[in-house]
Amino acid sequence: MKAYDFSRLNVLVADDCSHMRQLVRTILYAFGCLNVYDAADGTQAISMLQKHQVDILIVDWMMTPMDGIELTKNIRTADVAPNPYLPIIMLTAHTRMQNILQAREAGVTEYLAKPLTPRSLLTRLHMVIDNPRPFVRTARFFGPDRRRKNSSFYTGPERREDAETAVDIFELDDMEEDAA
Amino acid sequence: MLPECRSDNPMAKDVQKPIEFITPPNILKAKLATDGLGVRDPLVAAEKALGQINDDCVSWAHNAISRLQKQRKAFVASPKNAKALEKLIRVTMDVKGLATQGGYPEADAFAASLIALLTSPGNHASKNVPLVEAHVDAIRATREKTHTSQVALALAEELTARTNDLLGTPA
Repeated sequence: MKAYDFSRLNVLVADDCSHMRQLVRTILYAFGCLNVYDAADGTQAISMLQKHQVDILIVDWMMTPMDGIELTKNIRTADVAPNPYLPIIMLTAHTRMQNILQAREAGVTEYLAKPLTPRSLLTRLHMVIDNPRPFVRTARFFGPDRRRKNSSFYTGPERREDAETAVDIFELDDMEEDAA
Repeated sequence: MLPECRSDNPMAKDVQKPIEFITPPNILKAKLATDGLGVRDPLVAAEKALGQINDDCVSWAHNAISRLQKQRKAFVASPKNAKALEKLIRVTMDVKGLATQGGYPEADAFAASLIALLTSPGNHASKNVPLVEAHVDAIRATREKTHTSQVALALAEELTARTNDLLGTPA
């Protein structure tokens, strides 16, 4: 893996469980991060995004009053945060395929299943830094391209009847492996 | 106004969609670039850091499992109460997030199966309270180490299989 200087990385961790936030923070500090911000729900996270320059958001799914899915949609489309292209890593205990698809449809960049390990988190950080997904805007979707593996290489016509909900089997396999 | 997809392929003429691809500049790669000199191995550093907070991790896992038992009681008392169900889901997710790091990796499979049961559409959890309780008991047993890893594995497989049968899909 390529070495990066994480001391310049600003991360926001949004999780309603304070112990989980502390666990993530411990790992990020060990990676060399110096600026790790905290939020206990989506509303607080938006407030933090407006106050601080955040490079990556690590977000839990289940939070109240605003959960991680709603937060992601708001960041992507509701103009509530300064950067709609913000890389969003969803860290969640949901591991079923329909959950992964739902997160992807909301505009999540990477999906990370609990329990968290340093390696899994580092891998996602590297994916975000090394291979950022291009963004796609259609009438019904704005977010990271959901077809990481082949979208850059395919130069032919768009043949998807419903481009914004198309599912790429290869990527699903990839995400399923990651979630396992 | 979104640009139209262009194609010279006549086969695709009736499926052209307004779709825009945007490639934001890779600011992070430039911002975090380093020559690598003096950069410590992040994984080694993280494992060491986690070792230093091991007692906390154990305590957090215990706390999450205790909260699970408390919420289980509330759920069993009123299984159709949406608030009780939501609280049980949230604390089960905390168990899934914290148990492994706290030294109870066997609890992870039980928590995953329980989350699938609790979050499934069709209100399966409230109709199958004994199955919910069996999951919680199994998680508590991992904390109390009342059975071996092999027994825990077998029990997790059994509970997951029963949950899958009920839901009709793999958890």
